[in-house]
Amino acid sequence: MSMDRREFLKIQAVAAAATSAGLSLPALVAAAPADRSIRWDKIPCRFCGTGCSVLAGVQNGRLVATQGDPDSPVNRGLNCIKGYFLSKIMYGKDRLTQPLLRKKDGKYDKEGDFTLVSWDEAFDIMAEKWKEALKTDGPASIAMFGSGQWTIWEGYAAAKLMKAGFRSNNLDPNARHCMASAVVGFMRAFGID
Amino acid sequence: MKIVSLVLKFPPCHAHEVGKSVEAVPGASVAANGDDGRMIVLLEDGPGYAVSDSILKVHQIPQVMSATLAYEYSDETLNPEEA
Repeated sequence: MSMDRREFLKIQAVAAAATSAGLSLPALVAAAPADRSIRWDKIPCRFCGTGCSVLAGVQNGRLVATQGDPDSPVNRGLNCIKGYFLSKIMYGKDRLTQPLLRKKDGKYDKEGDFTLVSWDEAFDIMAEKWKEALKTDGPASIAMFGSGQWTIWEGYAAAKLMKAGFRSNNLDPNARHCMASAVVGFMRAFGID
Repeated sequence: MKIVSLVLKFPPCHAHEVGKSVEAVPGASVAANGDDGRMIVLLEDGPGYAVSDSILKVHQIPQVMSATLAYEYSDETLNPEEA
């Protein structure tokens, strides 16, 4: 069977959806050849703390396609709208790839403009400011935000660092921003979280 | 080229209305209908609309309870200059 690239990809898309939904595959999908131009690898989605498993399609060293992993017990082959941007966000023109630091006259200044700096400079200024804050205002003046997908061990290390090391309770996950607003939405829409 | 597939869930009695609404969304077509409140929708790019907007339009069809992404392909990321 001969078909153009668009038709071929449309069949792949329908086949992936049919597998996810548990719908029987139309004959055309069943007969579709495998796509040899795309290499599929397994990745976790990092956009929130749910931990959906995603199959990432790589072509010529670039991420070009994604689909929910049908074998994942978490998302069973489906992704949310954020998953649509998984491949695109990698190559966005406005994506930050280097730290930015507010500077005025070549020095850190809270009122300065964002300036590209090296990772070394970013970490140095962070360490300096943390030490300064700890010295002048104590442990309540510092804080850490962690990822919703921290592993148990990473969370444990962060808790040790902040609570046992710096003697500060100011440790929160991204859920403070993300899930907290979702809870309000659930309460308003369904009356229950 | 952008190709996306979605899985919709809705009360089975609304299959006809949902199908009609899907076909009215730019770039969208019904690829398979499970007759049990599940439908596979195919979305592709075209002039005058963004695929991401069409995804949201499908999601906003009143009878649709959920619209989840199953597959997406975009070859615009192949060329860094165009991304």
